[in-house]
Amino acid sequence: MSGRGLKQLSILTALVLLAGFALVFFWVPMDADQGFKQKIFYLHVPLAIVALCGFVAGGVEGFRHLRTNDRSHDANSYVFIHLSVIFGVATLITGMLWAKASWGHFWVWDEPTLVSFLIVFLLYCTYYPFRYAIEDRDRQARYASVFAITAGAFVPLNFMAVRMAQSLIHPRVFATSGGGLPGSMLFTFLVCLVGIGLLWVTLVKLELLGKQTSGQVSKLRRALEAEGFGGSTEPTGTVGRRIAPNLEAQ
Amino acid sequence: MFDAVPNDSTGYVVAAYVVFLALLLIYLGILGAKFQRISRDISELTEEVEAGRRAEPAGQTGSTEAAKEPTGV
Repeated sequence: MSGRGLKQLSILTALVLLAGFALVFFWVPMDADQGFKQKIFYLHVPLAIVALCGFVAGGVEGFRHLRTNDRSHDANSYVFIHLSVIFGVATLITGMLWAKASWGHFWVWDEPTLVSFLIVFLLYCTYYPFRYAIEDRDRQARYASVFAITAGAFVPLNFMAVRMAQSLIHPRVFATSGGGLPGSMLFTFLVCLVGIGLLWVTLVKLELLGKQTSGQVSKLRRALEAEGFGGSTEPTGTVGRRIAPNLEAQ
Repeated sequence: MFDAVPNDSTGYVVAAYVVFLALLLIYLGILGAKFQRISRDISELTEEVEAGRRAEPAGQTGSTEAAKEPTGV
């Protein structure tokens, strides 16, 4: 059941996020080079990492769906990608604000990190029209899984390509040799990363719980209609309007 | 509040965190609306079941009730 432990997880998420943001604004020292605007780093980078990991996880769930033909994996893949696209929006907006504060421009087209993230984001934006252009639910799930696997494999390749580009503009805070973050900054960053990661998991569980519940309501309505209860053939509410995968089978 | 006086980029930092919180609240609002619709669907189903039971012929209702009520036998 998706809702199991949701209350505890929500409380833990709120506590870790609050602790992370408190560390950002009250404890971690100001960056010598960037000053106060570097505080965006503790929000922007975890959002980007969690979004990209979510895309890869969506691909893994797509693969599991193709292997097992279990619709719950398709629903997981959809929700993972859906949440990661939303986190991607937040990443892009916070990144643009950081770019404006640091470089004086909201967007720099010759910066590989920015452009590559935008390409990944736009690629996943096509997931929705691609998915809902197919009416047959089984074909829709299969094709969406193939998309999730292909695009999910593209994400780490894209990341490695950008790392190899070695731009001097975008800050490299996790250097492979020398430099890197001081201890207090790294600790704060890790707390924020865990907080954002927990937020993603909490929202995924909430979204899946909603799908599971509406699937069960839909199943119940059909069962009642078959028994002769309820005269309405046009379902109302969530049941009739559903386009995203639900979890009726469970 | 801060260990140094913030420079003119304060607005961007505040905007970044406000955007994050706003997106989170919007998303939670959408989820809340979805759960409200589900709750309404469940209420409708409950009403339909109760209306169906009331509309059943008395004899059938009696047998249904008999199956549910303890008879003491």
